[in-house]
Amino acid sequence: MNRRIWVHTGRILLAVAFWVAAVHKVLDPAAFAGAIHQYGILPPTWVNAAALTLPWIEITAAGALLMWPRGRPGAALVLLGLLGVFVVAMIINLWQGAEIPCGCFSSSLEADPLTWRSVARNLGYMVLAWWVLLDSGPFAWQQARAKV
Amino acid sequence: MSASVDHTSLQRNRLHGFLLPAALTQPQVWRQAAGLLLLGTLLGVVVNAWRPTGALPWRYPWDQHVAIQAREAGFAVWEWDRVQTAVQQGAGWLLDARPEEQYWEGALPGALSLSFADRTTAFAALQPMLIGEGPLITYCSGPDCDEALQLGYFLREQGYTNVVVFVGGVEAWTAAGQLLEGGL
Repeated sequence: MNRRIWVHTGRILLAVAFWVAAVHKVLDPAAFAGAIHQYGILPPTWVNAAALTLPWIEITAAGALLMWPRGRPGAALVLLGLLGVFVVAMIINLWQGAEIPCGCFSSSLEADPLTWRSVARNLGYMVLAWWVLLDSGPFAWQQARAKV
Repeated sequence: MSASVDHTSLQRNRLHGFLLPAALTQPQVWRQAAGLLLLGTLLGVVVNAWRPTGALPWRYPWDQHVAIQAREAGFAVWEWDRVQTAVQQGAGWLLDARPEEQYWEGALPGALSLSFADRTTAFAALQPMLIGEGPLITYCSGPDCDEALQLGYFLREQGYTNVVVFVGGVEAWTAAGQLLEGGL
């Protein structure tokens, strides 16, 4: 019972974090595109397309995580994949000593600079997404059956 | 009922399940993920088309972003060869907008340090020198940095109208085989 509560809490935390993170990206996609460009990962002409679609993918997946019980594993998989890409891009830039905005909860360098703390935060979200995935397959069913 | 569960198998599945969640082995989960990616992308397309402030272009040359902004703001934008001619003729002033420590590590020949980060104090010290009809040519580290453009705005606010932005900056200068000098 306790485990279920923790998993649900983790799922809600993950979804809310992605919704909050998407707000500034949706409201000011040009600034978010600037933040993506500074990562230097995507070809310059692809940056706007990423800035326009990424926040809506985040919103959709986070929504499914909360409101579509059968779609939870798929939503967790999408968020896990996104977080994995973000973490790799962050590590590459921090390794190169780049002083750029994280682009996570703000596109401004002053408000949300990219630091190792940003990486740790995303790794925490990855653990939550992994946990939701673990809770979504036959393994979870098997474990529940063992307790009967 | 619990007697019917094979606990050894359960332990093995527990480890296997942790390393590879069972959900990942189910095709429907991957279909769900693909569907969510598609739906999110479609939402992005629709919202951008209906954006009250006008749709953001899907393709934009971000590598020329600073040059585009500078031209839109009415600044002259020069390439390295024109800057080189100005340097050789001693026409105007080359202003390095990077932090001062980067200037001392190597700057364009004849450039003065006017770090955008310390613009107020640096400008007060340099202002008596910035005389003559020649342009004030600002630059920073490369085409992606915007300190040169921001310094251009600042100089305009101070009343200078003949401001040129060398967008390529140090990166374009050295890529053209030109040498840097220690700061003045």
